[in-house]
Amino acid sequence: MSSEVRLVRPFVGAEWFQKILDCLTLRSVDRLIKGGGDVSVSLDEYLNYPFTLSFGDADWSQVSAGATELGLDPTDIDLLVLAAAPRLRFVDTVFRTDLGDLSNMPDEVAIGSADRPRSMNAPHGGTDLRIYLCLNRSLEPRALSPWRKGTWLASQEFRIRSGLSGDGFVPIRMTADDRKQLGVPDDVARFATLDDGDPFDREPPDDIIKMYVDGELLDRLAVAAATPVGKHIQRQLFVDATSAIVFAAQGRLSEEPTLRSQHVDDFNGSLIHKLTEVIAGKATDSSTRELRQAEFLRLCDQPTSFIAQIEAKTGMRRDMLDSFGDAQ
Amino acid sequence: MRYPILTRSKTEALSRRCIAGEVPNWELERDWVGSGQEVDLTSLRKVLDEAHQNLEAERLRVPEQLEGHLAGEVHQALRDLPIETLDDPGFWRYLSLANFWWFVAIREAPAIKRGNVMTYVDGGKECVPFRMFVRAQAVRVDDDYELAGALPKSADFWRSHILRVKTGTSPPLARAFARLQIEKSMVSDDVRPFAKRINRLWTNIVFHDWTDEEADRLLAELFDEMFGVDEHKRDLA
Repeated sequence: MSSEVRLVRPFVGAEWFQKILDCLTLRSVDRLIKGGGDVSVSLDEYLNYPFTLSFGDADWSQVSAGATELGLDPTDIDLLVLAAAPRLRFVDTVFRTDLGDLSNMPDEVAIGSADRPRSMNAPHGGTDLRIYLCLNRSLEPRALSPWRKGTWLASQEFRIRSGLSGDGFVPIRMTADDRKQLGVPDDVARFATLDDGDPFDREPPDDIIKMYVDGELLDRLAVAAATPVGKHIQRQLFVDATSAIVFAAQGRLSEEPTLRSQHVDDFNGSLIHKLTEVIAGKATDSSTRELRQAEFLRLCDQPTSFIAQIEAKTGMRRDMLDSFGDAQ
Repeated sequence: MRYPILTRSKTEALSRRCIAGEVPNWELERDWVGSGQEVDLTSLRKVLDEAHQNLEAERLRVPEQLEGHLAGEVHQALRDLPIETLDDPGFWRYLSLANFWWFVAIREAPAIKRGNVMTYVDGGKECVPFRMFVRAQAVRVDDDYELAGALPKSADFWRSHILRVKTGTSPPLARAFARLQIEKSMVSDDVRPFAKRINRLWTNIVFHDWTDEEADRLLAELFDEMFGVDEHKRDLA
């Protein structure tokens, strides 16, 4: 049995606040993106054009219901919009107001029309727009109620990328200390883990997948990345990372079986959602959504078959054959 | 404003020449992005020239300590450059080879000996000057960079527990963690689970508006929870 300490969100009433942020959309020059979505724009648009967060049909009166249920005063809650630069690791506050006067809540928040957040001058790293309804001060600690400053009651995120932005995980050189900590023998070449990361987390930390690779192998790989063997190993590392995610998901499903009954798009932004996108695509039409859900159920019920679907998408078979070096 | 860059393929070729002991003509090798006035790298060059000249003295430090010691000065020399320059991996590739090579060669000697140099000069998270910049940014208070160089044998602490996780995006929290580690010197068996607890807090809390005092109190509270007040008192005694 695991002795790991897990923090959970034991608040009843936060769903009122989440309903408000679920209405959020992000408008770029010619696109409307729903909450939790990614948008890739041209370099010119990224650097020069404004984006607009729109609250659309959000019903701010739900704040009263949620605040009452949680025993909070609306003036203790902020609407906070942050623009983070994931590569340069800084965060700017774009907008903030408390919920004390609901008649004055904005319909829209303009981003980048006047004071452009710094991340929007950083097209290589991109911008993560994070929107929260969160406590603006610490309250008296109370059981089953949020009280720490910064505790969020609802959140939403949009990821804006330019054609220059890149994504992916960076292998970690496996040291002797790592091997000891991970409990793996000296001859292990690679080890993928999420530690206690949650594969259903809609805002996973940058390093949620920890792909440890033997130092000597990593060095050989770095200089032979474009060779058939190098490509084969890189794809294998991706499949290994997938396996780690699937195992972690199985753990979460055992803890919380109701996750299986949700639609995978409810976990947009999570590792699980990204994997289903790899197989079924990213489109938002109903047939693609159904395909994603079918793959999610495959992940839940036939995990090894799901991993095989991912492997097929990597094109690893071709690299394996090429790595023999003889003409096919 | 224009700034120098190296492309990835050129960096691969040039790094091989650097390893062989050549000093390429950077004016011929570099490309430029942007137009107009050139970014001013005078203070960076001054910092690095000084450190390079004191190389023998600096060798008294382990390279890991030298990285922390130099991080603040490097950040101070670069922090006012345009964001688009600092965001460009090509710019960091250029700095890695044209300005930092002497240090990269010492700091990452074992990996370079095995043929892996690109990880440390390619402008990514492990690129030596880039990670120094981000480390100093995570813990500086105005011109005070003391925390960036205050922890001995701390490569894993910075890499795993500050820079690669969200903690590195909240300077008050990063500073509080560094201060606690200076005070407690947690061994890796302790610091890893402790860092995990901090990472877990990000699931529920936005830390960007926290003060140093608030972050110090929170981490002291977590430390007491995990290791016991008695242990804490014993360490303070």
